[in-house]
Amino acid sequence: MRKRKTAPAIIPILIAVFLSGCLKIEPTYTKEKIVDSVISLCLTEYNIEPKVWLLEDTLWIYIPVSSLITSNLQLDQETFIAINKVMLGASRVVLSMKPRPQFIVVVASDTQQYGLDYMITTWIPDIVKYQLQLISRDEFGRRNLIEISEDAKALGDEEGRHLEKKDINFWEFLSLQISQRIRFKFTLDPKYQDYFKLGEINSEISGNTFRIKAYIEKIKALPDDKINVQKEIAKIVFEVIKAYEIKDYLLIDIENTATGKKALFTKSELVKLLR
Amino acid sequence: MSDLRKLKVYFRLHWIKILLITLASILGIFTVIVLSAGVTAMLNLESFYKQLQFSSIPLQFFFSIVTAIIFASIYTIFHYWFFFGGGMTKLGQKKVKSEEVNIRWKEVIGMDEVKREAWEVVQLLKDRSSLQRVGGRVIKGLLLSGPPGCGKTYLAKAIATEVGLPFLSVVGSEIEGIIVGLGAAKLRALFKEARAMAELHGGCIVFIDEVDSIARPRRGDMGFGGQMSANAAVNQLLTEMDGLRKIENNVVVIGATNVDERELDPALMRAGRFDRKIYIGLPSLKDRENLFRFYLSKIKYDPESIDVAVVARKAVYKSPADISNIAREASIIAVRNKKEKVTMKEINEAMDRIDLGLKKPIEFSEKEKEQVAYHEAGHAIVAYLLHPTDDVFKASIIPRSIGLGVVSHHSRQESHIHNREYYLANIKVTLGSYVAEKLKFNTTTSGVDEDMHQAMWWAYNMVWRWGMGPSGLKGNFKALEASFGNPLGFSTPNFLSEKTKEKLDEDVQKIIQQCLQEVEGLLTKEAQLLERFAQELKNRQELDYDEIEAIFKECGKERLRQP
Repeated sequence: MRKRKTAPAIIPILIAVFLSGCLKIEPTYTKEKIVDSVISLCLTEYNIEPKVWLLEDTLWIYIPVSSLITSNLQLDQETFIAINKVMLGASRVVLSMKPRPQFIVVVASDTQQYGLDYMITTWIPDIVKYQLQLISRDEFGRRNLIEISEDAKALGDEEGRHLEKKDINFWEFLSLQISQRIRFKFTLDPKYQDYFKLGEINSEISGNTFRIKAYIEKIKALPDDKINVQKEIAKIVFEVIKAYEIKDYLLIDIENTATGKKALFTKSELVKLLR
Repeated sequence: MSDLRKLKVYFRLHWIKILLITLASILGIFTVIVLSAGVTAMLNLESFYKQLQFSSIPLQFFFSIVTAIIFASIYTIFHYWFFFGGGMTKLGQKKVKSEEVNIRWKEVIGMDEVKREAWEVVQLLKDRSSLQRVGGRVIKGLLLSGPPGCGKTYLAKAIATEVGLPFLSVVGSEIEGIIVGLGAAKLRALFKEARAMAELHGGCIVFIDEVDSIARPRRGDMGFGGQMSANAAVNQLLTEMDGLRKIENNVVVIGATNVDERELDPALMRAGRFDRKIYIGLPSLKDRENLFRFYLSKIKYDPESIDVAVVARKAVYKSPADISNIAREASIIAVRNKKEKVTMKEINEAMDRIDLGLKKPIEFSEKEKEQVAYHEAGHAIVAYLLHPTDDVFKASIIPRSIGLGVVSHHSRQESHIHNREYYLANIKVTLGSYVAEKLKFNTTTSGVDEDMHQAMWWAYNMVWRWGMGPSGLKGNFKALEASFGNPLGFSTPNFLSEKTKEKLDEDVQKIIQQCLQEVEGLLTKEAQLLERFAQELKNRQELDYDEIEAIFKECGKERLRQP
């Protein structure tokens, strides 16, 4: 008797529990109100009032700060915390919204001392992956574009008028990320940092070809002289290709403008090289 | 009564209940608050995080169920195996098919009366249907009691072979375990299996050796839990045996024990549990002869050298297991002596080894040898000339595990009751050593320690227990003390006056002194015999029955025969 009574009660509970994943949950924020939402959230929760603009698929956020760089050329700690808070607030809004924009660009500008812009560009799907712990914190850091530039127009600009706001294109973002990764590799990696001098690095993705032109000059003999700059660059490109699961590429064309050496890797050569 | 007082009384009577209800209420309120706070927080989450939570619930739930099923299965299997299936409950349990037991009825030697009673049980088990036709009930329990080594297990196996039923054998002491309730669990498992076997084969015999381990009377626990476990085992046995009776599934329990059935739980002894009780005692002279013939037939022996009747007479108070052991030991000694057949010499040696223990490699000095020889000669002469029932079978000054020397004396026939003269003779025999040493060396040694102990023991029991004291005090004074004593032995109430105790102690000493005087008189009178016997013993180290008889005959002495 008891069994007969409990079974009908348990079955709907089990069904409800298993279907809970399929629940349709209304997004907390909408794209129409994204600007207000980000401002309101940052103001309420972090007491920061950023300037926000939504272009087609890119959310621009501007934070004017009184100090960006300290006297010993380090990022000001308070500014760094404020940037992170705004980044977190913006991420929360875009994550709980449908449809989402593709990029967030946060610019913190030194409006009082030097007129410097500190710009972080993040692809929103990368934030999702990071939140779901599909990528590590380091990898997430490598995927963000960080750019520091000097702009005199930033001085006194509390409204972000000096920003050249535009929609970011995914391939453009990827090209810049490749350039950034190459730069970091040859300037921050202890294995290379004292042996190379870097100039301009340009990468371009056109059609199925990745074209990288980089000025990488060897200034000192390396302990291990077998290092092949072209191959190292190819590895970096391959890492990005793998990270973003790009399947339809054919060629990687690498040119070191410092030495004039060129290298061309086909897809199969690249796979063989990195095996 | 004022309301406040009523409240106080109510609180005193129900404070545990009140405390528990209060704690449960606090816990309940706390749980509701925590749950509602959790649900509210979850509902207030931003859609991305809410989605994240909800989507992970089925997976978490699924893994929780899988984990719970795995652990519950492991726990259940282990628990079942440990307590019921074959772990702890199977320890000490042997399952044997009747054809594997293979002890035929005719191989049960002696104990004719016992066999007759057991045969009736066999017939009842074999022809259960005819018994049921006349409305009779099948025997459910058979208790075999008696001294160790008398063939209880052997008989149980013979019953199993004859009936042709499966035989489950357990030892009572192995049923009880360190875990409270394990004994009861083992019994449940055992009877469950027995019932299954009975269903398959038409019946089953459960043999519980040393059944007293699980059948002692139930008592209150002293707070350590051990008695509770023992009580549980007895209760379980009662339940199982009652259960059998109700279901009528032809499972018969045979219990074997060395203890008196009065020392077992009375509930087990009543009809419907152990219906039949068979006492298997030590074999009679005729049985011993049969047993010797049976066991000697299994080894190569010289029939001309071995007179089975003589050997059987010598082996008084020996159990069938002892007799089997004598035959086996004799064959081992024969092999060691490179003999083709076992002769009387090997039988004697085997009996000595079993009775007196192994020889010890001790080197005596001449003086020590002489002291021991006179000591043992004293025993032997007193036993020969004053003991009303015993024959002197051996005198030895070879050191063995039981002592530096020995005089083996016992009656040719078992007797189950003894008179005052018998005990006095025992005391005199034990004091013979002391007197002999005193007469010969004008001093005595510590070698009389055990003899004095024995003499005191006999005298004490004569006076305190059997009303044989010279003062005329009658009664079992020992029982009076023991029956009113605290079972834990912390204190013993004094029911005897100091005067009575004094008198009883005086009686003990009087008996010892009287015996001593008599023995002194005898050995002074037989000084020549003492000298001769001691010298013979010193020279030959060991004297057997015939040699002892020859010495006494030569000296013109005859042993005392009981009228």
